[in-house]
Amino acid sequence: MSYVCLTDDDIALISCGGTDFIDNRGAPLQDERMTRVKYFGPLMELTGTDEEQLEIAFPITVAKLRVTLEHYHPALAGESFRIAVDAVMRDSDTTLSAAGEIACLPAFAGG
Amino acid sequence: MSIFVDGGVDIQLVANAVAELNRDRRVGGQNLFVGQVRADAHPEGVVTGIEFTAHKEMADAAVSAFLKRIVGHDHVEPAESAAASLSDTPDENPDGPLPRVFIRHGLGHVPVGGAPLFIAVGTERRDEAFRICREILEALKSEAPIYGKELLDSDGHKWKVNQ
Repeated sequence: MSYVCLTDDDIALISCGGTDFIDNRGAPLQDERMTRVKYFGPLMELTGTDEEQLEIAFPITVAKLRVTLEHYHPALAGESFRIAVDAVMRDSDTTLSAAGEIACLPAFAGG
Repeated sequence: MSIFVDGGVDIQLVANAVAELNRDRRVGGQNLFVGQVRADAHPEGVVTGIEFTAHKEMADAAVSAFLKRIVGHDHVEPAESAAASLSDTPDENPDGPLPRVFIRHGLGHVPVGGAPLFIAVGTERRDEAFRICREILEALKSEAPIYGKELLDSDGHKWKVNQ
């Protein structure tokens, strides 16, 4: 597992890791401290991943979460995307006390 | 039920939906839309197919929400079985609420000419069939988190943008 520690006051990302939490049967194990962050569409390319585990300091507003993610993935800066928490779209001024899954969603393009 | 299917929508499903609506004696009009992958020519290359991905849980929830708004229920009809289409007997007690709605969206690779999207609506009268089908189509495009990566003959790709 790799850890990245950021100390900037504006940044709420404590650490990050891959999905190499393995239980004794070899199955992936979710670390309770970690939040699953998913990237969709072109954001997958900009971040280089479709999913990662990050340790985020809650409580946090969606706006600050965005700044945090942009700090960790500079390629996200300036990109237009919305943030859904546990499959519900959230406004930037919403304060999150916890999150099981964060989804970063650029403009939809189905059909 | 989920609207998603692997790859493109099987055209047999379209026939099944038509047959199923044929058997519903309440229905007086069907309107169908089949979205098709087009061989767009970009400066970077010509589209050979589209790779679709989605936040499936959110997309299915979005479909449920906009169906309740547009048709007053969120029942998406199953049509995967051909059994229903083999019977030409009118169904005296059709299960699905009116308007009857079929929606499927492909995930993964859909080649040019393939169908990533199918919508069918069965209603009592034609005006609402056209209107509802169009409203579902526009809602799906604007409210469901679905993404398409256009694969090009130059081996590059371009992210699909809805017009």
